[in-house]
Amino acid sequence: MKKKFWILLGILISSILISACVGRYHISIVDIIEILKGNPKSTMDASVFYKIRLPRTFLVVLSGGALALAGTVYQMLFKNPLVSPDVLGVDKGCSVGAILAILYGGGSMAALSASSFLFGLLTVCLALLLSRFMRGNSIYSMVIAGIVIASLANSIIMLLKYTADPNRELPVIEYWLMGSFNNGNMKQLQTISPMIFAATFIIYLLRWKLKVLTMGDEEAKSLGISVGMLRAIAILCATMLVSAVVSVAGTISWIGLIIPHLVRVIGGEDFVENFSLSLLCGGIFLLIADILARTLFTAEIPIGILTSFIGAGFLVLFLCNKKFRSV
Amino acid sequence: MEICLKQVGVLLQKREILRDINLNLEKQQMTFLLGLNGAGKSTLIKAIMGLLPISAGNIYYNGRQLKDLSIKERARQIAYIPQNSELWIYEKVKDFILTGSTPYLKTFEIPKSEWKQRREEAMAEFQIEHLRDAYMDAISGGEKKLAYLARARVQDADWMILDEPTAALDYKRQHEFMNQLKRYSEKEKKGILLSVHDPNLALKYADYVVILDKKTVKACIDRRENDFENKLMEVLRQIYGDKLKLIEMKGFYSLDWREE
Repeated sequence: MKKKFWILLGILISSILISACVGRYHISIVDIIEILKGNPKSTMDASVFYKIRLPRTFLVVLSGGALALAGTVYQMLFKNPLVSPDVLGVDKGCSVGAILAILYGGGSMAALSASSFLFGLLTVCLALLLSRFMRGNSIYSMVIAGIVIASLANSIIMLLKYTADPNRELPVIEYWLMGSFNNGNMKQLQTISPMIFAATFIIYLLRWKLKVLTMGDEEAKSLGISVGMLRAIAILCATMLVSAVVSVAGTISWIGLIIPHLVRVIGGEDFVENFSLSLLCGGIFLLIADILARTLFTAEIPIGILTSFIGAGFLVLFLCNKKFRSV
Repeated sequence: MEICLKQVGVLLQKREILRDINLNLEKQQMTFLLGLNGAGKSTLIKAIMGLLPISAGNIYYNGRQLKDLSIKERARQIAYIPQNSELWIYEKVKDFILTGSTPYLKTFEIPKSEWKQRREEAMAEFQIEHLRDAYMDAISGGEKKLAYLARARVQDADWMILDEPTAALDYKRQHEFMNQLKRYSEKEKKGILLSVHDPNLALKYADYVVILDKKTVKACIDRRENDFENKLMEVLRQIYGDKLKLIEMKGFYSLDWREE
């Protein structure tokens, strides 16, 4: 396992370097070395590197890792490899918050981020509350509650889109929903990093208990685990991870669903051992998608298009692969 | 550690399942729980484990009330082997057995080499070392039960409670399992409580038999008393009917179902 870690780390670092080079304004590796030495070829070089490229690159890596970890945690909590973090409606909730900010927030990016983050958390809390009032198996009621709340959120989204100005506001909304790191900057990185680090750290501390939780509530309880509290904390942390990413980049789908599978194929199924692999794979995958988003066509395309496309392809590969242990 | 139940009642979705249960389970013996389907064996087991709330009475572990114990303390006293394991994805046998360490880990701790050593010993004791890297959902029912036993050994609790452990085992494995259990109980001085359907298993292996009927304890029979076999048969006939007969041959006893 250690070998895989270093290989992936190597791939990540290479991807970071490539990411720092490519884009509308090209910087070569040599130029980067000069910039880091404090001797840039031009002030434009340094400016683009430090203010745009580097923050964006790290933002993408962080986001990829966060989404991948959140997906892994959700799949473990729901004991189903076909679950994505959207099962409790966090994506839809964030969208509601973002659209409200676009329509009534006066164009402020900060308002957009804050609103989508808060609404994302709120939506999941609502879904969890609803599931408590439902009888029966806890996982089942969470899924049903998630469907209900996500559907409610979706109807609000549709209503808001309907009332939006088709010339000015609707395109902004649609672009946001597709997901993009186009506006990635240092401020965003500084805002969401603490949240992502905090949530990741908490999940890291709880990794053993989460693993035991997947054996079922009764067995977990018989081994001394406070099942309800652990589940609530884990969902909250995973949701924070997703909300943080979505608040700066819009809804990016498929990472939370696919990367956990990829990690299982590469590194086996043990969550405790795979923890770092999830973060690395997520970061690499999203970074490659972002690089492609910037380079495939002359104009940058929303990253969500690529993640959906590649994600669907990967899923087909997994389901058809004999080595993949299906449910 | 002794488990004691005083006037315990259990409600499930407002229906009374158990009523006025009084039991004294001594440590270091094998207690068998018998009863018809629906008599409340699983419910009683889960109540003793603390997995189900009780609506009346009290349960005591070594004199301390169950509700006063934290969930971790309970886990250190009793190991649970359920009848059916909830399907989970992707767990290797060795990782599964290692989870027996959980009640002893501090909040954020991960089991290290000393626990892995105990896991190795447990796998050796139940002779499942060859299953180390196999997946839990790819092994047979009997092998799964042995994995559970190994995990319980790592958990090293004073008591082991099993809910119909022989239900899915073939005839040979049933008896092999019982012998494994008895050996483990005697060697490590652990108390065992298990529910079974086959009264012959109780007749053969039990130190103490509890019979549940009509929501409460019908009788408790101790092997140390005189005439254990006949007393057991008398009680069992009251719930299974007259067709149950006790056969004795050269000092060995067996229960049989005779139609005539």
